[in-house]
This record gives sequence, C-alpha cells and structure tokens, in this order.
Amino acid sequence: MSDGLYRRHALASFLEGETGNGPENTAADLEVRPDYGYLNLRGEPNSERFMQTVQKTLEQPLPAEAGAFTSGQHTIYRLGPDEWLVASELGTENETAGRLAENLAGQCYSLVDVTGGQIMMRLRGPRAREVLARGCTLDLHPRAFKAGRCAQTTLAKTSMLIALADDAPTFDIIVRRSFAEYAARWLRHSGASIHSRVTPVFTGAGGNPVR
Amino acid sequence: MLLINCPWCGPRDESEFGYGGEADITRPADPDALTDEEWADYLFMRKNPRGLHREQWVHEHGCRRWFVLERDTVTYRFSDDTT
Repeated sequence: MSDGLYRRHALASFLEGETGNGPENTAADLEVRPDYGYLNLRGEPNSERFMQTVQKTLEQPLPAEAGAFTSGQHTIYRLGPDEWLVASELGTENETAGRLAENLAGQCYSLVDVTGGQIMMRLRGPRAREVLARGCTLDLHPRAFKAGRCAQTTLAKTSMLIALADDAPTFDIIVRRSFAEYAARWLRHSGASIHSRVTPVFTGAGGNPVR
Repeated sequence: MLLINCPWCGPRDESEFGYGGEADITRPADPDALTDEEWADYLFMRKNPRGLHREQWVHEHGCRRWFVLERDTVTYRFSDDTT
C-alpha cells in the first residue's frame, strides 16, 4: 500500500521548473541547503545552571545577545529571550535531544524536535540585500544588520528566520516547509524585477533532490 | 504604518505584530462572587480614551513575546517607557 509513497523535496518542483532563461546579470545564487535536524530549546537565560548545562552538552555556547547566532558543530539561533533554535546535521538531532534531556533533568526547560518542518536556503551574491529588501521590512543595511545577526521577520508575508553569515553577503533563510516553494519563487521574481537573475543551486548531499 | 519598538527585537514594522487590546486587565480572583454587571464589566467593557492608552502587543512574526506599550490614540505616538 505504501509502495506509491516516495520522498520528494519541498523545492523539487521549483528546481525542476528552472529553465535557465532570464536576465544575464546575476543578483544572487539561491542555494537550496541540505535538510538539517532542528531542535527548539526554551529555558531560563538567567539561570547559570541551565546555560552551563546546555553549553557543556552542545559543546558550544548559546548566543548571549538578542538576534545573534553561533556556529560550530551546531548552528544556534537566539529566537527570543528564552528560546533558541539548534540546527544540526540531519540524523544527529535525536541523539543531541537525548543528551540534552538527560543532562537537563530536573531543570525547567522545554525541548521540541521540529525537524522536517523547515527548509534552509542560502541567498548569496552582490545584490542579495536588494532582492530581500523588496519584500522585507527589516533594515538590511550593513550598518544595521551585520554578519552574525539573525532575525525572525516576514518576507513577502511569509514568516522566516534570516541570518547573515558573512558580508558577501550570504543570507541563510529558514522558512516553513509549506512556504518554501512560494518563498523561493518570490525570491526569483524579486531578482527579475531588478533585472537580475536569482539562480537556484542545489548542493545537498545525495545530489539532486528530485527523485 | 507604525514602527513598533519591540523590547526584545527593537524597532519593527507594524505588520509583524498583533494587537491585544487594553493592558492591565486582571481576571477577578473569585468570579463566583461577582454580580452579572461586574462580570460583564470585566469581560466586555474597555476604555476608549482620547490620548494615552496602555495596550498589549504581541510580536507574532518575531520573538512571539507579549509586551505592553503606551500609545497616544490621537497622534499614534508611542511613549518611551516599555514594560
């Protein structure tokens, strides 16, 4: 009965529909990132015990500032005063969650596995800021939004997490799976409206996601 | 469009927020002891001042936290103090 079921990447249709036609100038590359494992962690940031337990377990500090993220074995985004998103290599999140739960036993915290609900895209190129700014109310100017910053905001009415990895600029965009295709198409369209291409790229492990 | 100063995220566009009505309304400790009028007053009656108004906002598309701001209903200007 389940013979007819098969895995299909949320952006498979989008990538299949890429014709290669369009303006010649490149605004940015839109790289569809491989899937990650995601854990949503909540706890008391003023509790030394909580912060140290998490840091020891993840072998990486939680970002202390509002709207910041730390990279390492995991990428940890600070979503709110007491909320973090931990992105890890797909398949390792169960083990990480298990270790966190074990070490945090008895403390006040919340840990939810939200793997599979998100798609990560990477928008990289000289005009990436312009492409985003056409649909985003966040101040993306380098003086306001620097590398190492992340923000949850809306892009073309879609909730998403935008993180600036470097000054290329490289934006990592985490969007809900069901909104991913809309967001990707919107980004391509946004590039076209400044007479530039937003070129989709897939570099995930296992090659093309279209199966 | 309003620019709303989220205590956690900083200034953000109004479209990221949800409005939660008048602030500082507390649920009566013992609802059974109230008359129908008092209960209705708690449930339905809200101030509608011309001038300063303390109100609740939620940063729906940002940090998803509730907070209270004071806004002038005539000028739409927010007071500086945030709680």
